[in-house]
This record gives sequence, structure tokens and C-alpha cells, in this order.
Amino acid sequence: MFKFFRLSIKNVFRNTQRTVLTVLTVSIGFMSIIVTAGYMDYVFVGLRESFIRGGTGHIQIFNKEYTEKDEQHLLEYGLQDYENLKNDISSDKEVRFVMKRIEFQGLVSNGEQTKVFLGKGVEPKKESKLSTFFVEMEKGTFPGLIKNEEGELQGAVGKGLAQDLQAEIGDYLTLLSATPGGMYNAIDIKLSGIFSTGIPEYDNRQVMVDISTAQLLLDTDKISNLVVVLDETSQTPQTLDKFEKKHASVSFLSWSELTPYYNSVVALYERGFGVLGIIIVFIVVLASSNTMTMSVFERTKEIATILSIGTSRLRVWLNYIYEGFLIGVLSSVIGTVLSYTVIFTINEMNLTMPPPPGRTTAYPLTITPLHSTILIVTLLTIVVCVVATLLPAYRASKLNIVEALGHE
Amino acid sequence: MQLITIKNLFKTYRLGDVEVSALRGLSLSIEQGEFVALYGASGSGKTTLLNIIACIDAPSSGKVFYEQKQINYSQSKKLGQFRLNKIGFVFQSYNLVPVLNTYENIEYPLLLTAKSEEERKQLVENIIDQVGLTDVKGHKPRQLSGGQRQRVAIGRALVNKPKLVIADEPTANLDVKTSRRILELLTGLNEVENTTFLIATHDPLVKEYVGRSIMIRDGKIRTKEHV
Repeated sequence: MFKFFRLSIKNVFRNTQRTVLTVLTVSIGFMSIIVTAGYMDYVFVGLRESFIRGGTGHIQIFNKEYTEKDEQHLLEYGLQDYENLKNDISSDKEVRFVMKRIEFQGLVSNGEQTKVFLGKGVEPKKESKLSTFFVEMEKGTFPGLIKNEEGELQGAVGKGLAQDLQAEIGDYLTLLSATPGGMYNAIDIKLSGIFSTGIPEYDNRQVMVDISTAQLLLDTDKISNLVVVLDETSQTPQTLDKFEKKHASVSFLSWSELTPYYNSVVALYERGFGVLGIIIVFIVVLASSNTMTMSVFERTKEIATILSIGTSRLRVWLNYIYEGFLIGVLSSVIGTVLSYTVIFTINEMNLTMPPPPGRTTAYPLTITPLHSTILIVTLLTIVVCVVATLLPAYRASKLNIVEALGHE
Repeated sequence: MQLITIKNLFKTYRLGDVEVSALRGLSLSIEQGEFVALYGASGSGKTTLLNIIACIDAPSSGKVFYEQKQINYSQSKKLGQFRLNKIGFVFQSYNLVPVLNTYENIEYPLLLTAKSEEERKQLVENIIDQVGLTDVKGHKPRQLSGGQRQRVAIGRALVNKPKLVIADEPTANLDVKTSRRILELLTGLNEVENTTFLIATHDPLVKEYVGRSIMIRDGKIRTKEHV
């Protein structure tokens, strides 16, 4: 085999200019796929982590009925007597921590203006470990949500809501909400923080208080759910599986089930990437196929000569397939070098992308070098180059010797 | 011993709606070790006859025997092997593989056999020496003169030690002096190796070297001259 492989190597470089052009075309296609995939991966990971660290956590635990029925009133299907469950989950080696959460809504007033709010009762110290990267406390701190030394209840509001209420740190706000029992209850809180999530819709509505403050307002000892934070996002599926088997009385939802927006963004990007991929594959097929067709045309007499000498038609076909394979390998090597060079250059340039729709903060343009994708695209490139050679190779192997010997 | 026997050979081509008869009932015998020239004007049928004897074309009717065995033109795979082992080709315009050097071009037919690298090397070196190309064995065809290229083609035709070498206008692209050298080389090889040569040519010079000249006209043999 190698003796003919040597001939194919020589044939690939017979028309150097054409081979270089073909290899460059395929390499640029290769690089486009790798860079796009690297950018998409960065966006996906960033988006995924922004949801997880923005409050979703990796897994959330609910009362089973909460996921099966609609609540008629607040916390109707909340979690009660959850301490044993919480302790058990917390003791798992993959779990960083578990925290309680209450979600509620009501009205917030500064005495002059009243606004609707979406409330979140949190464990401030744990919440700060999860959310500080994506929920920015512009004024105050997460621990500042806890009751102060004077025994005053404290809380934080979103940047937009603070602006609407013209509220400053130290101001008093009144929260009014319906309790699970159907009564109305109100508490005063001292504003100890103003935060931004980067999403204006949240910042215009959200109020965050200590979980005990929320339970006091709602006159309940129930919580909405438990949020489980793992060491690594990649551990989610197996950890979820393990928990579901062990605790059948409650419902576990993973971050991906809790973030349909993420899934639709991924689907949208992947569809776009798929179209780009098909276009690139098409270009690669055209470039390789054209090169091989030209080569067959130029070498018609030569093919006829080697056929007349006694070369089998299969051998002629295989020689062309080797050439397609070599172009694929060469393009992959150059494509890999190009990809790493472009990724390194872009990452070193510290470029910033404009804020995505619905966000207010820009983000750095970073391309993740995906080594496994490079391996897959290398195989794909070689396969595509070989496939693109099939037809020209077949034509070469089927040449009529007498007619082809007369070809000029 | 008869190497080639041809009986009542017909070959008809179809060019659009027109049928062209290239061979019209041609019969011929060639002995092992003969040096035969086929003469005739363009379109007389000599190249068609060579192609059929070389098994790269099939007759419309008639029979061709090689060493008393009839050639079956429907078995293309076997014909490829037959050509590799029994027939050498020399073309008018040399038809060398441009990316291969002299040594590699001559070696090419041996790559198709099961011969070891050592065996191949011995055979190729021997032929290179016989055809006088030792000094240019690393040269690519474009670095060689017409005469040298034709010597490479002759080396390639002979390296596998075929019993029959078919040459189509081997001197047509060469000057008289070079043509004489090539013909002297071929006759020398014919004498030393007892290889049968069948040459289609217009070149009157070839007559001086061959053992038998056959004139073909309108697809039939007109005269046979023994020297």
C-alpha cells in the first residue's frame, strides 16, 4: 500500500498552486467550524452558568405536588419539615451546599409610591456564594440582608426598583403580601442593598430579603424549594439520578429543566451552526471534487497508460482516494494550526461583545479551544475530502483505455 | 513457436450514425522472438490491430491466440494481469508518469507485482544499465531528451520481462540519429532477450532493422516482407 501512497503524495503536489488553494479553502472551512464552535461553547457555558449562578442552582427540590398541580394560593405546595432532607442532601460528596428559598410577590411602598414586586427569601450568606458573580450588589452586601443589631428587618431591591422608588440605602420600605392563609400582612424593612442582575425586567421588580424575614411576612414556616449547588455543573445528571432514587417523595428538577430559555437559545444557535456547517461542508466538497476532477482530466492519458500497463481499475480508484485522504489530512493539520492561532489571537485581544438582547452588561469575547471538536472535525474533514473524491476517482477508474490514450 | 495467431479479425467502430470498419477479416501469425513492423497509412487499422493484440481493445469478431490460447476479451480483470505479465508497451509520446523519475518510471510495473523491493531494485538497475540510463536515473521526464524518454519507456516495457513488446510509432517524435539509436537498442534487446517486438510505424527507417514488415491497408494485410 505504501508504495502507491508515495505516488499519491507526489501527485498531490504535482500542481502545487492548485493543491495549496484547495487545502487553504478546506483549512479555512475547518477553522471557521472550530472558531464558531468555540465561540458557541463559550456562550453556552456563560449562559448556562449565568442561569445557575444567577439563582437557579444545579438542582432544585420541590414538594411533589408543586410540579404536578397548580397552586391556588401561595406556598400551598411548599416544602415543610425539610430539615432531614436538607441535611441528607448536604452530606453528599458532590454537593457544595443546599439553601432554602421562598418566592413570593406583593406590593412595596416608600410611603409615597407603591410598586408591585417579586420577592425572594434567601439565605444571604449561601446566596452570596452562588450569585455574586452574576447578581451584583451595587450597594450593600448579601449578609446585609440579615436583621441588623438594632433588630431591624433589612432587604435589598433591584436597581430599577430603587430608582422608581427613589430609595437609598437606609431608607425604610413597606412590604405588603398575601399570606398562605389568605390574610394580608405587612412589614417594614430597612434598605440595606441595591443589586443588578443585568436583566432590566428583573431589576425593575425584584426584592430580596432574608428567608426568616420572608417567613415572617408570609406568616409561614414553609419554603418554596431547596436549591442544591454542586461542585461542578457536569455532575448534575448523575447526582440528580442518585437523589431521585433516594428521595422519591419530593421532586427534583435540574437546571436545564428550570431554564427553558437556555434550551431554546442553544437550539437556535445549533440550528444556525448546523446551516453554517452544511455550507462549509458543501464548499469543501466542491473544492476537493473540483481539484480531483481537474486532476483526472489532466491525467487522462497517464491513467490510460498505467491501465494499459496492467494497473487494476481498483488501484487507480484507490490512488485517487489516497489523494483525497491526503488533502483531508493536510487541510486538517493546517486548519488546526490556523484555528489555534485565531483563537489565541482573539482571546489575547481582550475584545468585548455588546450586551445581548435583554441584558445591560457587555461580555468579553472569548473562544474556547475545543480539543475534542478539533478531533471530530479532523475526522469529518478527511471523510468529506475522501467522499468528494469518490466520483472523480470512479470516473478515472472507468476510463476507456483506447479513447483515453488519444486524449491530448 | 507461434506467439500470436490472429484469425479473421474484424473491428467496427460506430461514429454517430456511421459504422467504420477498421479491420476487415485480418489474419496473421507472429513467432516468438520476431521483430515485426506494421506499415500503413493513417486510418489503415494498424493501431487498432495493436490495441486488440495488446488486449486494451476488443475485436468485433475473429479470434486472437496467445501461445495457442484464445484470448477472452470479456474478462477485463484477467486481461489487466495478462498485460502486466505478458506485454510491454512503448508509446509514440513516451507516456511516462511526470512525477516519477527514471528509476521510478521503470519500476512502476513491478510495483503491481508481488516482487520484493530487493528483487525490484535488481531488475530495474539491470534494465537501466541495458538501456543506458545510469547517469539519469534520478531525473524526472522533463529533465530528459526525447531519446532518453523513449529509453525510459522501453525500460518500463521490458522490466517485467514480457514475451511481447508492442510499440506504436516509437520513433515518430525523434530525429533520425536518435531513432537509429532507439532501433539499435530494440534490435539488441530482441536478440539478447528473445523478446518479440511488434511495431506500428510510418518511419521507413524501421524497415532497416526489422525481420518482417507487414503492410496494412483498409483493415487488411496487403504485403508481408521477410528480410
